[in-house]
Amino acid sequence: MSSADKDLGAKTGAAPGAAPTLGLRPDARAGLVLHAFCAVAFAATFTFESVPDTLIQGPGAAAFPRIVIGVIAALSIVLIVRSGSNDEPVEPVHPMSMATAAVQGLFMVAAPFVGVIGAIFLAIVALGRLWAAPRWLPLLITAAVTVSFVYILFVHFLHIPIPLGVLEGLFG
Amino acid sequence: MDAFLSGMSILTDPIMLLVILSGTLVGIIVGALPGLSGATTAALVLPITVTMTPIMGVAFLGSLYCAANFGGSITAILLNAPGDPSASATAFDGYQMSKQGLAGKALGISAIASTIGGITSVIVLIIAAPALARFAYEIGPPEYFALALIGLSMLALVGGEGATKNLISGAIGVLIATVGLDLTTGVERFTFGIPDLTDGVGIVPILTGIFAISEMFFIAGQLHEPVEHFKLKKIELPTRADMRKSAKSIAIGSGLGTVIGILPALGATAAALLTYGEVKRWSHYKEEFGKGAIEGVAGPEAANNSAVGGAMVPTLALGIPGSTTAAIILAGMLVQGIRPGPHLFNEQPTLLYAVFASMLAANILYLILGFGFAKLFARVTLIPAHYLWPVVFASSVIGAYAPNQSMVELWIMLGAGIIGYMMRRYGFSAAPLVMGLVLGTLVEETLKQSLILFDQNWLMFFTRPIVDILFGLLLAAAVLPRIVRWRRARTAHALARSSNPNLKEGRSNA
Repeated sequence: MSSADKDLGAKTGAAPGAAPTLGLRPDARAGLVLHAFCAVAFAATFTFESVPDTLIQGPGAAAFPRIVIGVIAALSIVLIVRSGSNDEPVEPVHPMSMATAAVQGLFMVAAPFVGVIGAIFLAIVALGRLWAAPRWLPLLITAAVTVSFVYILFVHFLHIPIPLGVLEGLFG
Repeated sequence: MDAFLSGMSILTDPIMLLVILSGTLVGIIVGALPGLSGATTAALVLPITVTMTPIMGVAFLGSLYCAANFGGSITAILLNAPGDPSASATAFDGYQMSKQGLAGKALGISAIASTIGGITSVIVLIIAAPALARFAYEIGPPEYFALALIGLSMLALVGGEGATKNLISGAIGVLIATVGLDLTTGVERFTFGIPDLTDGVGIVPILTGIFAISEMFFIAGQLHEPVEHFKLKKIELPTRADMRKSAKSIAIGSGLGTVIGILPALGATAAALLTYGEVKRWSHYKEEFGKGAIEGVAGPEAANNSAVGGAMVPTLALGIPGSTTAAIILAGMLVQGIRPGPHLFNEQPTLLYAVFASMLAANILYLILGFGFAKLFARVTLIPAHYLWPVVFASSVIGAYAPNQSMVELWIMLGAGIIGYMMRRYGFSAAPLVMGLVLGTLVEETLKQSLILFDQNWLMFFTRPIVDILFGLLLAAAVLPRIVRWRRARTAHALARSSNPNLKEGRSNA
C-alpha cells in the first residue's frame, strides 16, 4: 500500500487494506447508504394501492411507513453531520466471511433442486471444509447426524413437510 | 391464590420438569459457546416451541433465558470470551482469577451469585408483574403508544455516542414490521408482489439471520486468532470469607439488575456492566478490580441473572419487552397465539404463574447442574468452530424454513444475516432492530387508535397525564446523560487548566 493510500485511510477512517471509500468517513458512508434506502422505500410507498378517502379511518396505509422513513432520513443526516475523525475505523470484509456467505448463497440456489435436507448435508460439509476441518470423516458424520436429527424431529415427529430432495429414497 | 398454586403445580409434573431441565441444559451449553447467545438460541428454538403447549413452550424459553446467562460466565472465566454478551463484565475479573489458578472458585461464586440474583428477581416478578398489570388496565392506546416509544428509545438513549445509530436501527425494525397487509385498510405494503410477504416478514428468519448468520460471518473472519483456554479442575463452593466479601456486591447486583431489567429494553448486559462500576465504587478493595477480584465476578453475575426476572415484568404485564431475549420470548408467545399484557393476568393466570415457577426452577437447576457438571460444560467450549458453526447454520435454516415452509423466508434469513453483519461493522447494534421489529405493530396500532380517539389532533396526546409523565421521562433520559457528560468534560477541562495555566495560551500559540 502506498503512503498516499495510508494517508487517505487515516483521513477517512478506513482500515488499512480497506476497499475504496470515495474519501468518506464510515459514518458518512453509512448515512448516505441509509439515505438511498430511504429514497427507495419512500418511492415504494407510492406503489401502495389507493383506498377511497371515505373508507379510511385515521391515517392511511402509507402514512406510518412514511413517518418512520422520515425519522430514519433525519437521523441519517445527524449521522453524516456528526461523522468525523472519531469514527471507528471499519475493517475490510474478511475473505473467509465472503466465502462463507457465498457457500450459503449456493445453499439457497441448490435447496429447491436437491431438497432442503440434502442441501443442509452439502452445506455442512462445504462450510466445514471451508473453515479448515482437518478430516473428512468426522465432518461427514456430523453432517449425517445433523440431517438425521432434523429428519426425525421435524419430518417424523412434528410432521413438517421438509423437501428431502435426493435423499427421498433414503428416508422415504 | 388458586392460579398461583395451579401455576406452581407444574413443578410436580415430570414432563414439565423435563422441559425445564432441557431448557436449562440447552441454556447453559449455548451460553458457554462463544458467539451463541441466549437470544440467538431462543430465536433458533422458536419453531420447536411452537409445537409444544403454550405453557411448555414459554417454560422452555424462560428456563433457557435464565440458564444462558450463567452459561456465558463459564466461557468468560475460562476463555476471556463471554459466551453470552451479558457475561462480558464477568470476564474482567473472572479471567484474571483463572490466570491465578482460581477458575473453580470464580465459577463457584458465579453459580451462587447467579442463583441468588435470579431467585430475587423472580420473587420481584411474582409481586411486581400483577401490580403493573393492574395499573396497565387503567391506561389506553395513547399511554401504550408512549410506553412503546420508551421501549424503542431507551436502549438507544443510553447508548451514548452510539445513540443515533441505535435509534436508526430501532426505526429500521419498525419499518420492517410494516411489511404486509395494513390491518385498517387491507392494503399491501412493501410486498412487491411476493405472496409470502402478505402476512408480513416472519420474525424467526429475521432473528436467526441477524443473530446467528451475521455472527457466523464474524467468526469466519477470526478463525485463526489464537485463544488461551484455562483448564478447569473442579468447581469450588465459595468459602465463608468469600461469601462475606461478596455479599455486598451480590446485594447491589441483585437490586440494580432487577431495576434495570424492569426498564423497557435494558437487559442483562447493561445491568452487569453498570453493576460492575457500582460494585467497584462501593468496594473496600478497589485495587483488586481488574486483577481478579471475587466481588467483580459476584456482582455482575447477580446482576445479569436478576435482570432476567426484571425484564419479564414489562414483557408479561405490558407486552413491552424488557430485553432482546425477552423480545424473542414475546415473539414466541405471539406465535403461540398469546398476547402478553394486563388481560393475560385475568384470562390465563395459570400460564403466567407457570412461567414464574419454571424460572424459579431453572435458577435452582443450573446451580445444581453447575456444581455437578461444570467440567463437562467447560469442555463444550472446546468444540471446534468448523463442526459447531455449520450445524448452527443448519439449525438456522430449519428454524427459518419450518414455520411457513417457504424458501422466501430462507432468502430473508440470509439477507438479514448480511445486513446484520454490515450493520455491526459500522457500529449499528442488532438489539434495537429486534425491539423495533417486535414493537413496530404495537406502535402503529396504538398511534392509529389514539389518533382516531383524538379526532386526528396530535396535540391531544399532551392532555393525558400519564403520557406527559412518560414523554417527560423520555426527554430526561435523552437530555440528562448529555448534561452529565458536558459537565464532566467542563470539570476535566477546568482541572487541566488549573494544573497547567499555560494550556490555553499554548493552544492559541499552536
